[in-house]
This record gives sequence, structure tokens and C-alpha cells, in this order.
Amino acid sequence: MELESELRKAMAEQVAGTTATPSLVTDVKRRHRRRRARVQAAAGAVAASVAALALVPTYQSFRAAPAGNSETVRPSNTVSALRMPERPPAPGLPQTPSERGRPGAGAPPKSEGRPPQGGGGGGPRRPGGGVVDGLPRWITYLPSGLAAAAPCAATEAAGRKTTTCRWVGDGGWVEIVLVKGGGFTGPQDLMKSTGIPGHATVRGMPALTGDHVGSGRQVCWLARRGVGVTVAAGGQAAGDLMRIAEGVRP
Amino acid sequence: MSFVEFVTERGDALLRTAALMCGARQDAEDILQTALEKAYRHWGRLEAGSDPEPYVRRILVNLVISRARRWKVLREIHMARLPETPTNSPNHSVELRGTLMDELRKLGPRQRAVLVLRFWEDLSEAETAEALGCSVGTVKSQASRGLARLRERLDKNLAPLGR
Repeated sequence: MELESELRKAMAEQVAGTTATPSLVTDVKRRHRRRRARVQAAAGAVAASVAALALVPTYQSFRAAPAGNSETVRPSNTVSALRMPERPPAPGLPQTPSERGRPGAGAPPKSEGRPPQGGGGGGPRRPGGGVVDGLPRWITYLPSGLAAAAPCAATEAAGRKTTTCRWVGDGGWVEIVLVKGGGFTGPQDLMKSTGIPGHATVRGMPALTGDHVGSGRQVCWLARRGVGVTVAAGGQAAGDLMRIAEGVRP
Repeated sequence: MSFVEFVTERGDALLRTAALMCGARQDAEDILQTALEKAYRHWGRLEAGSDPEPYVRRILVNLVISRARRWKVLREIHMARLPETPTNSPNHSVELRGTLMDELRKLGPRQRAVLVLRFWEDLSEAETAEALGCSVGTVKSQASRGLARLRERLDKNLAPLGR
């Protein structure tokens, strides 16, 4: 017996009646169309997922701050220990214009109408020595020994609203300028120093530092899209420049 | 040659090859459709005038082997009907061929593919090696071991029948 020839005969017998169905070509083409549709659906799902993943952070970065409630736009991981949940309005110092007139400003502070505590414009002081009351809501820290030079001044020009607050005292001086409006490309748009700026971060945002015109130091950054902040300090307060900047939450 | 012409002309032969390699007609039809669909996807890339059959056959062989590995059906035998108890048959050759086919199905997918390509498709060792994507030496050894195993099992199975 020759195994190879027997194997050939066995195979031939096995498949003698086997023929392809007449619809084989149609079946193959239908299978191809189904596969192509599946691949396209999968690609679409992947593209949609990627777009969603990319759009969520973009949307959040572009989302405008809810009026009057700076806490809702503040990232949770940047909450400072100095932030106070409830504060009375600043006696003698106005709120920023945008906060006073905005419809979503929320309920007034519970202590509104009560006489300022601690007397004399100083307000209660934090254990760290900074003045935390008697300030606009968006400023949470100032070094001690400073008093408001004048109520915060708001001006509007070229589509930008500028609020300037200044404090002076034995401990030097501090000036905080808040600019709201479009057209900012980065902190360099706010920098008025002539020297070479240094790089820093304020609450995770890129910032530029430099000498202030005249004296002192300053730091500029974009708190969010369309909101620029410049903090300048001189005298002893210049040593607390970055701490003051970290306390500005427009 | 267009895809439709090729399938019309060679569909039966390919299905028979697939059936011998798979061991079951239903599996063979499914695998052949999958192989043809893969070939259809890239049909335009085939050189004009070239024979597409080696390309399709290679897809077919790879699919059979991959599927056997994936499903771990190396020990799973597809039977068209329930195994029957051997009885003395007056027709020795018919019984021998049936046993041969049963034993062929029990071989590993690669060894089975070598035997099918060599003795059913009548491919040379080089052509078989090309279809399997291995060396000629591997084809020789696989064919030799496959035949030896068939011979051994045939002897064992046919011995009780007094053959």
C-alpha cells in the first residue's frame, strides 16, 4: 500500500461533492461592505471620543467666570489656606465695578450692615499678619501695616475695564491692577517694565516678574482668558510680592 | 483577471482545499469567505496578469492555522457525523480511506496543511513552503512526520480488524 496515493484518493473522495455556492461572490462582497461599515463606525467612535476628550479641557479653559462668584471658577487644587468663605464688604473700599453691578452676584454677605470689626480700617488680621478684611473680594492677602490710599478706581478704555487699588503704609506700598477685556496674548501684554522679565507662576499660570517703574517689583499674569492682573509692591511689602499675587483671585 | 472571474473559476477548488484543511464543510465556507474578502480588499494591488491563486491560498492557509491556534482546536475534531464503531467491512479500500481522513483531521493544522497542499493541490515543496511562509526543509519534515503519524495510526486502527 502506498500511503501517498491512498491519501490522494481519500481526499478526492472526501471532497467529491463539495462545490462553492453560486452566491459566493455576493456573500464575499456583502461581508466586505459590512466590514467596511464596522471599520468606519469604529473610526467615527474613536474620533468622537478623541474630540470629546480634547474639547472638555478646552471648553473649561474658555468658560467665562460666573458673575460674582469667584470660587466657582477657582480650581479646587489651588484653594489657599488664607481664603475665607464669608467676608464682610470692605469698609471704605468699593467692590470691583464688575462685582457690584453683576446680576449673578449672589446673596449679600451676612455681615453686611454690621459695623466693621476691629475698628479703624485695619480689620481683623490673620495669624500670618496679613490684612484679609477690608479688601475687595478678589484680594485675599495684604501685608500688615498698609492702608488704602484711595478707593479702588475703575476706568474703561479701548474695550478694557481697569480696576486699580493701592495701599500705602509703614510697610511700603502695594498696587494691584485688574484688567478685564479681550486681546491679551500673554502676561507680556501687561508688563510695563523695561528690564528683562523673569518667569514665575501664580496659581499655576505663567507670570512675568520685573522691576516696577520707579521702584519696587511687579508681577503680571493672566488669571484666565481676558483677565490680566498686575501686582506691584515696594518697600518691605516687596518681599511679600508673590504671596500677595497668590492671594489675588479675580 | 477580475475578482468575480477568479472566484467563479477557482471557487470550488479553493473550497475543497479549505474543507480538507478545516475538516468541516461549514468552517471551510466561512474561512473561504473570510479569505476571499481579505483578498478582495487588496485586489487592486495585484499585478495585472499575475495569478492571484497563490496569494489567496496563502491567506487561506494562514487563516486556517491562525484560527486553529486561536480557538485551541488542535485537539478538537470537527466531525460531519457521529463517530461509528468500526466493523468488519467487505471493502477494504473504502474503510482505509475513511480512516485516513479521520486521522488526517487529527493532525495539527500546520501538518495537515502541508499534506493537503502537497498531495491534494499537488504543489511542489517550494510552492508549499511559500504558501505556508516557511522553509522547504520545514515542509519536508512536516510532510514526513505527518505521513509517519498517519501510517502509525493506520496500523494501530486497522490491526484489530485483521488487516
